[in-house]
Amino acid sequence: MRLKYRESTLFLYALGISLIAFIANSVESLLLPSILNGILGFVLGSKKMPWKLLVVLLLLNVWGSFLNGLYFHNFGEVVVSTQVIVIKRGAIDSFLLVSLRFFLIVGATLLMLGLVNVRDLIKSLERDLRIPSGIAFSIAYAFRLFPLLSKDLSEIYIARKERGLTSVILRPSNLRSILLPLLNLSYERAVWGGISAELRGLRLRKVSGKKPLRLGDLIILTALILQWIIVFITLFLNK
Amino acid sequence: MLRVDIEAAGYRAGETTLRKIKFGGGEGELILVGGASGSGKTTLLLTISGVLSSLLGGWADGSVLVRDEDTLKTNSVASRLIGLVLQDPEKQVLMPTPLDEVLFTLENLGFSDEEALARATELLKRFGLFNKRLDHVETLSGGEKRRLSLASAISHKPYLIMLDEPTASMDPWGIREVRKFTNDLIREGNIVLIVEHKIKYFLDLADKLVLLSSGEKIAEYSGSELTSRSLLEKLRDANIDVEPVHEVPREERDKKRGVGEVILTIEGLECWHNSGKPILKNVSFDVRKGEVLVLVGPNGSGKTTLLKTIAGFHKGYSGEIKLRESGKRVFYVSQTPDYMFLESTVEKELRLVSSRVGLPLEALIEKIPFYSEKKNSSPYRLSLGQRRWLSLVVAWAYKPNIILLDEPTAGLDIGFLNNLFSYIRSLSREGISFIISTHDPRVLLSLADRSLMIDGGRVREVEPYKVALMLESIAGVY
Repeated sequence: MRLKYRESTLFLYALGISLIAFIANSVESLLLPSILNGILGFVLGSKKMPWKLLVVLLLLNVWGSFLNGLYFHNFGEVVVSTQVIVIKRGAIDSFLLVSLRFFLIVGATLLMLGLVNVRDLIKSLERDLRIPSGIAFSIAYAFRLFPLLSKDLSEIYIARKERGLTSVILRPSNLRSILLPLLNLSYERAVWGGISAELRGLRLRKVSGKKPLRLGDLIILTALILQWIIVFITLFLNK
Repeated sequence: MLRVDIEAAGYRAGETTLRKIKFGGGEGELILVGGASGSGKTTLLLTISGVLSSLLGGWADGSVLVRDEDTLKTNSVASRLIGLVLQDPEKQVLMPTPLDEVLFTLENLGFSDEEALARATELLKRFGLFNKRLDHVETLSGGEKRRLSLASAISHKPYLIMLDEPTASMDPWGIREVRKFTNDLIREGNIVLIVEHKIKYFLDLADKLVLLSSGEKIAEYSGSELTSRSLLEKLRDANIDVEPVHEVPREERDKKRGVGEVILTIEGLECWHNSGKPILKNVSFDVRKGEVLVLVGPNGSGKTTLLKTIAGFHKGYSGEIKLRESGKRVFYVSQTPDYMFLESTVEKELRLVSSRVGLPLEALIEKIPFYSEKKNSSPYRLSLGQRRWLSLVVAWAYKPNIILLDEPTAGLDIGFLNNLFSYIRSLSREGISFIISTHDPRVLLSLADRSLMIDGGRVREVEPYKVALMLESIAGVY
């Protein structure tokens, strides 16, 4: 028998898990929820999202957070020292913190996206959480954008190779020059997507009655609460 | 009944994009709105639909009556009365599957679940998408996405259907479909409004032609005027693409140019998708120095794959690709020029190119006629024609022997098109060869030294003029 749940419960789960990323400030407290949600999210999300994009996102984050750690938090005891680079404790901690937070947020989001149908998600957000149509639609539109982002990314890599530029992001300027076309194209799509939605009556949507909570909802919410408890206990023990 | 009476309209307060536009139409009529890029055609659609003021923060004075409802005064009426088909289906399609896409409009407009499903099913069958209703939209071909955008725009049976540049990037088979779709809508008694700079594709169906220039209506023609010889000549003189291939003066299309030695040989090429599904079989041809070779064929026939294989970006192939000269040899320019840009201004973009290829900045600036006006603009904010031009200059700067252009004319008006053709011709005279993938008969007519037709995975050489005639005949121009 298929476990039934409201799509909005999964949204609440993803939101609740993402909040952990903002509250938990130690590697220990983030470790378990990040690994759990990250793995589940990437496995389930890859069924609906292009896995190449997920890998690129992951690599972008790992490299970005490493550079961030190296530029802004490279202090404390020396962990690695070579002729080229000296990596200190602060950089490692910062790298792990940012990476785990990313893994947590993206993992929880992918988990949600992997398990819901987009129209049902819009309906459920409006019906169960009373979220305005425009916002509910924007959340659901991510489904459509992910594959397009993936396509854009592979075309950008082709153009970079033609221009003799590497696709490996070794410097922040490389990251910038990949994100620039990606964000510009996404912005243009978002504007036209908004026009398309407006002309197809998004503003006129009517909200139907609420659906009752089911066993699936209770399991999802319990999983959320348990992870919050684990985070609080770890934070408390670290004090 | 449609009555458009726009005094003025704009995207920002104090900035007027449209002024004094007045026209109308009745049920079962096609109103064609023509004009060059930047003449205000798309802004007109956004104004009529009310989106300019209700969503984009713009303003509009005047009135637009659609079945006696003023879309400029009441936000909610437009989506019930109007169906809009955007130029690019990628931007219009919002949902992950065709079924979701059609149901989305119907649910928004309050149709019951049963009625919505029944209507969506009927439409998906009519547009040949029923068997793919649960597939992800990204698995659909370009033509199927176009059909989906048409289906979702009319799912709620709107009174007025507007199409924005429906032939852009479309193969002649797709254009024929849109013409049939338009014809059906007219026969069903709808009002259809099409904005298009290639008006030749719809002139025979139109009841009225409204011409725009710099945001103003400059002329209106209707009835028998539309097919009169004098009007066609007037439109041609005004640089409007109205001329079918068979009416282009012979001297222009019969010009033959000398080309150099063979620089690329393709022998027994086979290409396949990641899934192992074959795309191209036993393809063999060669390209000479300074030659312009044009590839034609339906959407999804493998033109882009062939270009990417030659450029080294499509790895699923066997056979031989032999380049006779050393150095940087081929350069692929995508259909979407935006992928090519890496910097935040045109000036920085050119500086980057200059530093990478060792060309003086001035040599690059010289190639860009709009440089002084646009040097501080983001490359992404240039017009489509300017973006295409800039991407071609970037490609040229890398000194390739062959430039591969994927649909370089999609979305360009005839003015910019002619400039682009002159530029490509001048580069080919310098010895650069071109392989151009296109659906556009104008490319065959004005640029092609030779042309290859790709169909059913096979490639055969065809005479450029004959194939241009064939493409227009498929599209239904004559």
